[in-house]
Amino acid sequence: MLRLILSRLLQLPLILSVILVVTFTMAWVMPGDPFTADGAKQPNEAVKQAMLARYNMDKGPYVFFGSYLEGIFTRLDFGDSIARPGRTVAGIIKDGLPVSASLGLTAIAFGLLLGTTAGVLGALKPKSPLDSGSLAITLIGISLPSFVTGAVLLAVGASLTRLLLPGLTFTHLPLGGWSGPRSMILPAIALGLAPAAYIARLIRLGLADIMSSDYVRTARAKGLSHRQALFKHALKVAFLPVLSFLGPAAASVMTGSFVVETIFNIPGLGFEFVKSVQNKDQLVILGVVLVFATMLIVFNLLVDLAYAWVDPRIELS
Amino acid sequence: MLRIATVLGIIAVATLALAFFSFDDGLPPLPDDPQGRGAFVFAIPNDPGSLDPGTTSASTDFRVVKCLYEPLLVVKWGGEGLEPGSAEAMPQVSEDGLTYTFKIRKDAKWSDGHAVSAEDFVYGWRRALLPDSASDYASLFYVIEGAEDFYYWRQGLMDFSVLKDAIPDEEKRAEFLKRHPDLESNADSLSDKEKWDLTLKRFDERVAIKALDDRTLQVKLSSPTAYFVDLCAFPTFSPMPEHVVDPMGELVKGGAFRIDDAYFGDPLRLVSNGPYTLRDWEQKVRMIFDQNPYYWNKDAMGNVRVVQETIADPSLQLLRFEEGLLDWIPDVGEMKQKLVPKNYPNVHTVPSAGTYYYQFNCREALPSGVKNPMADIRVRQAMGMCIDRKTIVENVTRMREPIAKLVVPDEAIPGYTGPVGSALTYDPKAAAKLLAEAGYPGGEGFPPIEIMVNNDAGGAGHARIALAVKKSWEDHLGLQVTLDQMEFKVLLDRSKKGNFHVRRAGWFGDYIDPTTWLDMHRSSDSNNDSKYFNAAYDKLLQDAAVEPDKARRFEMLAEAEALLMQEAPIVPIFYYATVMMYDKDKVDLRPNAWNNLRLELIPMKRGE
Repeated sequence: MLRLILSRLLQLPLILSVILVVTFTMAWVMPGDPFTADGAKQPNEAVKQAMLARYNMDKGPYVFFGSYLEGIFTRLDFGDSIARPGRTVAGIIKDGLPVSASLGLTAIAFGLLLGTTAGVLGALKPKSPLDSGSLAITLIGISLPSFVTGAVLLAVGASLTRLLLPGLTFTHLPLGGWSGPRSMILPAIALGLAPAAYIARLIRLGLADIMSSDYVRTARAKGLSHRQALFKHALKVAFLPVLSFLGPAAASVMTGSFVVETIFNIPGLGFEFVKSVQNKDQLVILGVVLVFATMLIVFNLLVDLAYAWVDPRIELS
Repeated sequence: MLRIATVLGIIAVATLALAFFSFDDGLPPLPDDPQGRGAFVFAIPNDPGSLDPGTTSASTDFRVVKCLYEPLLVVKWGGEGLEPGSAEAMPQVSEDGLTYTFKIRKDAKWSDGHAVSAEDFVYGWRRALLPDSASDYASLFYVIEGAEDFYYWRQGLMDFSVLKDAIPDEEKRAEFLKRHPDLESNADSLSDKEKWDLTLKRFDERVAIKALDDRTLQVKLSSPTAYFVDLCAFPTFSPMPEHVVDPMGELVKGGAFRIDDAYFGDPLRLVSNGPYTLRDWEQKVRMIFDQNPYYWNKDAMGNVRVVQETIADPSLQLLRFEEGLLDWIPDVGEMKQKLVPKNYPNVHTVPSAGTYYYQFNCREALPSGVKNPMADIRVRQAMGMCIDRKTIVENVTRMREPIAKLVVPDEAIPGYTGPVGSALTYDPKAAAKLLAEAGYPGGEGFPPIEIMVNNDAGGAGHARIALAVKKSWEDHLGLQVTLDQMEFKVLLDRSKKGNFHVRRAGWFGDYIDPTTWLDMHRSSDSNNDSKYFNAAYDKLLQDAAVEPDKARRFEMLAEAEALLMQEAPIVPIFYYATVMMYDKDKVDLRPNAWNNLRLELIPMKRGE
C-alpha cells in the first residue's frame, strides 16, 4: 500500500510537467493577445511592445516559459495575471479554490445522499412508483443542464418564496452571492443533481444485478428478507462503482463550475477556467489547469485507497 | 457496511468543516454622516481590470477610478462642459494657445492628509507616459511638447531592439534616431540605474510638463490642441501621491521602473485625492468606496458610499434590481433584447458616443495573394449602399438605435456639424449599377466573400446583423457571402494582419473631438486596419491639427469626414446606445453620451 502511494506521488510531478508543457504550448499558440480586454481598444504597437516586455513575453516562448519555471522553483511564484494587473495567480487560486471546494463538497455530499437514497429506494421495490421516482431524478439530473436547473432554482427558490411569504424576510434564500451558509443551498442542489443522477443509476443497476447473484440468493435462503439482504450484503458491493465515480466527480465539482458560479454569482474558481482562456491570460490558465490536474490525480489516488480499504479482495500494487 | 459508513462520514465531516469557511457576511456599516447621506449601489458583470488611473483604459474601470482620483478639471454633472476639479480655476492659456497654466486649489488633499501638489501631477502624468508602465493611453500625452519622442527614446533606452517594432515605419525611425544619436550606445553601455537617472533628467529637460511651484503646473503643447482641456479631465491625467508611491518603486527585470501593481487594489495602502477612498475590494464580489474625509468638496457630495457589485449574470442583476438591492444597472447587456421592445419600466436607452460600422479591407490583395475586389472604391460604395440601416435597427437589433450615416456621432461634439450630404444612402438599384461599372455585373466574376464577426459573450447580435447584410448583398448585388464567426481577439488579430474581406467594427470616442474617430483612418495610424490610403485625407487631418481657429478646424475635419464617407473604407450603421436601468424618481443619475457621470453627486438617503 505504501509503495503504491509513494509511486503515485512520484508520478505526480511527471504527469504535471507533461500537462504543463502541453497547456503552455496551446496557450501560447492561441490567436490574439492578452492585452486587449473584451471590447476595449487595441494598444498601439509601441505600447504592445512595452507590455510584452513587462510580462517577459517579448523574447519568445522559451524565455517566457523558462522564467515561469524559474519563478515556481526558486520562489514558489506562479506568476501574475495579465488581464487583472496586481493579482497573482496564486492569489486568484487562494481566493477561489476554498469557495469552489466548499460548494463542491456540499454538492457532492448532497448528490451522494440523494443518489444513494433514490437508487436504494428504486431497487427496494422495482417497478413501483418509488422506482419511477428514482428514475425521474436520474433523468432530470442527467438531461437537464445546470444552467436550466440553476435558473429555475433561483427563480423558484429565491423569488417565489418572497412572493408567497412576503413577511418572512429572514427565511427566504438569498438571490445569489456568497454571504452565508444559506447562499450555498441552491447552488449546491444545482451542482449536485448531476452526480446524484449518476450515483442513483449506478446503485440502482448495481443492486438489481447483485440481488440476483448467487450469494444473495444464499442469504435469502438462510431466511434474510429482501430488505435485509439488500442492506446487509448487496449495497456494499453496489457502492464500489460509486466510489470510483466519486474521485473524478469530486475533482471536477470542487474546482468549480463556470455555469453555476455565474448564475448564482459565486466568486469561485470555475469562472477562471473560462475567463482566463477568453482573456488569453496565460499564467492563470496554467495555474488553474495545474490545480485541476493535481486534484484529479490526488482524488483518484484517494479513491483507490478507499476502494482497497472497503473491499479487502482488491490488492493494490 | 461499517467501512462505507466511515467513508461517507469522512465526506460529511469534511463538508461541514469547509461549509462554514470562506464566508463574508454583508457590508460594513456606513460611515457616520450628520447629513444622513446613504450609499449608491450598482452592478457590473466583471471585476474592473485595474484601479490604476495611469494604465487602465476600459470605460467601466474609469467609472470607479474617477471615484478615487480627481484630475485638474472634471466634467460637469450631466456631461456638458468642464469645471475645476483639483485646480482652483480653469487654466490660463497663452495667446498662441500652447501654454496652459493651472493653479492647484489650496484645500486639495490626499486621503492621508498631505496636500496635493503640482509635483504630484507631474509624477502621475510622467508615470502614465513612461513605457515602463505600458499604459494604453500613453499616446494621449503626445500633444504635449516632447512627450512622443520621450516615449520612444525611453523604450529604445531600455531595449534598443524594440524600436524596430515600436516604430515600424523605416523613414520615421531613421529620423528619430538622427535626433537621438547617442541612444544606441547608451542603451548598450549604461546600467538600469544609470538609464533611469538619465530618463528622469531627460524628462525634466525635454517634456514640457513643469511644476513651477507647489501649486502651479505649466504645460506646453507642441501645437494648439482644442481638446487638451478635455484631456485634463480624463482619468489618465490623474495625479499620483509621489510621497506614497515613489518609495514603492523599483527597477524590475528589463530595467523598467514600476510600483507594486497590488497597491492599486489594497485598501490599506491606497491613497486617493477624489471624493472616495477604497474601503474594500473583494475580488469578484464587490468594491466599496467610502467618502474621503479629506476631500475638499465632501459637503457637496450626495452620498457617502459607492458600492459596485460584481454580478456576472444579467438576469440575476435584474432580479436584484427588482428586489431594490441595486440602484442602477449601467448596462443590462443581453437582457436588452427582452427589456426594450416590451417597454419594461425603469429601462432607459442612452445614446452613447460610439459608432457601429462595417469595415472593408482596402488592400489590393489579401495576405494569401488573392486579388481583393474591395480595393475598388465603387465596389465598397455599392456594398455600402445595400446596407439597410433602418431595417437593421427596427427589425434586427430591435433596439431602435439612432441610424448612423456618418462616423462621428450626431451632436456628440458641440460645434461640429458632420457632412450629412456626403453619406451613402440605401439605394440597391444605383448600387447594382456601380457594381456593374466596377466590372461585376450582377455579381458575375466576384469572388465569394466572408463577413467577419465576433460571437463571444454579448456578441450574438453581430451575427444577426451580418445575416441581414449578407442577404441584402446576395439579393441586390448577386454576391456570394458567408459568415465567419470567431472570438473578438481572433477578429482583432486577423484585422491587424489584413486577413479579412469585411468585418464588423465599433469605435467609442476617447476624447471630445472628431479626430477620435477620424485619426484612425490616416494611412500611418496603427488602428487603420483597412489600410485605407488617401493623401488628401491625411493632408486634411494634418492641416486641421495645426489650425488655431476652431470653426475653421471643424470645417476641415468635416471635409475629411466627407471624403471618408465617399470612399467608404467604413460604412457606419448605427450609433451605440447603452440600455441601463434605474428609477428616475429615486436616482438623479444624469447619464450622457460620453459616460461622464458624477457618482459622488447623486443624492442617496440613508436606509433606502
